[in-house]
Amino acid sequence: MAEPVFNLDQLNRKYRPPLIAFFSRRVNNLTEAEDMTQEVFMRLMKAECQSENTQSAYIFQIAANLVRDRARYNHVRRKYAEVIRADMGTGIDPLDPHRITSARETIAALWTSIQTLPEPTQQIFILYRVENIPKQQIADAFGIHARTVDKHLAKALAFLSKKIERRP
Amino acid sequence: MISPSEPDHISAAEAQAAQWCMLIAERPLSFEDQQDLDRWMAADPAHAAQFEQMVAVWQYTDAIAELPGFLSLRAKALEAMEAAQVAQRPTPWYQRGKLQALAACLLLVALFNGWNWHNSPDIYATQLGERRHVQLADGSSVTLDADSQISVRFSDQRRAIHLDKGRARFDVAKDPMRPFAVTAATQAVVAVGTSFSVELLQDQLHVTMFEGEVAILSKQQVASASKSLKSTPAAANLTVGQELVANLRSGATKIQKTNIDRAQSWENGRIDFIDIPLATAVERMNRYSDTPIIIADAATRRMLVNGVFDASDQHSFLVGLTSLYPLEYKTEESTIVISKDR
Repeated sequence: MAEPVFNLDQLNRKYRPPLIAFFSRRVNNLTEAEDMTQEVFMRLMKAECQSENTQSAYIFQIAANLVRDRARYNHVRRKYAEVIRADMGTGIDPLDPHRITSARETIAALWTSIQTLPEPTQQIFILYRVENIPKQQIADAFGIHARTVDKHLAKALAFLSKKIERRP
Repeated sequence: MISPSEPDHISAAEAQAAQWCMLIAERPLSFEDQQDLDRWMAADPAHAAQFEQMVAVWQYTDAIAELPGFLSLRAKALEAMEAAQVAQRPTPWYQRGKLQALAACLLLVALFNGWNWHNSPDIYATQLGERRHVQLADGSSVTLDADSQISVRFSDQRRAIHLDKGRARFDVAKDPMRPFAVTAATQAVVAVGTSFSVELLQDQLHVTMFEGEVAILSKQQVASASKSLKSTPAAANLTVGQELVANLRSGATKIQKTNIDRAQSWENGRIDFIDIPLATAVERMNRYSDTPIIIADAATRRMLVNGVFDASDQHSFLVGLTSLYPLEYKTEESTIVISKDR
């Protein structure tokens, strides 16, 4: 039953935004962030298969190593240290699985908020984000314009992000 | 606090942040994309924060994707999409039934992915005639019937228990962030906080609800459906006073009413039979004796029996049965054989 879910498409979908966010906070330009993100997937493909459970921890490990190597290489440790400190402040490092498990309150708020989304928005969000169904396919199925799907998705993301925002 | 109109009020910047998040998820950023994103980030310090928030939603959604409640929303969304397609055109290009099958697969696929752990499970077992009460690390408790065994694996994300044999009653400590899943033979029972028992017999699986509600899924159906994408019956929900009986040979399942008090009597060492096949009655009694009872023929195995017995008193069981029903028993070397009266 230990069938590893090694679908690169799905992995990209799932991890690209957090990886880009992670790298762009630590390097100076997006070109580099994009390269490093692709490097993570390259290394992941080369490595022995990972179970879903350890996968995110492993991806985080690769990403952290890439940043560390680069910092060493560029002699910009100081900046790296600053960014790390800044991250601790925001409390959101979307990649670190330990933080994810410690962010139970946030996750509980997200779950509550997803339930309050109006039905079409909620369903479109789930189909796109969780079931990985392309926007166009969702649009075709429901007989709506792809732009309308886009609007529902933006609405869902914006609404949910407000709900999980940390209040001082 | 949450007004229904609230999702409509999103700013242009928020919409843009969401678009960036989706674009990044879908494909690598082109050089133009990178420049646009850089420019957008630089335009307002709030943009970076908004983008980070979107990414947090993106990421955290995975953390809840396997919650039982969320799984039912996912199944509903897939069914809605399927229904919309069917309504739209009679022969859609997108294979019919595919989404429904996907919907049904959800829970188990999720469970199996987490199944493959490196750490070995904690095993709790009872001997013939022994009952045992176990307190688990999360505050849940388990009562094991005689001759039973469970394997327990807990992680930060889930609580997984496998019933290896026999019968166990679970009183689950509530933890919505860590679903409690019991698997046995062909079925998986997923609960958040509730009381139920799971029993594995030679060719049947019983799940009995004492409190709360659980979702039940078939492992086999899910495994085969994920390959062939054939239509698969959706998961069953079980509520208080109900019992699910799965036939392990045919794969058929049925849900029936049960008397909760009598269904729990084994915990006090009593075995309470109401119109159950003799084979099942004997299998339960055999957990308490090192001289197992064997039934001579198939017709006798199917015979329905009633009665309340002391689990540890095999002799009274045999005497009771043979005086109430046209049966007889004889002791052979290390077994006792029940057969039709001659």
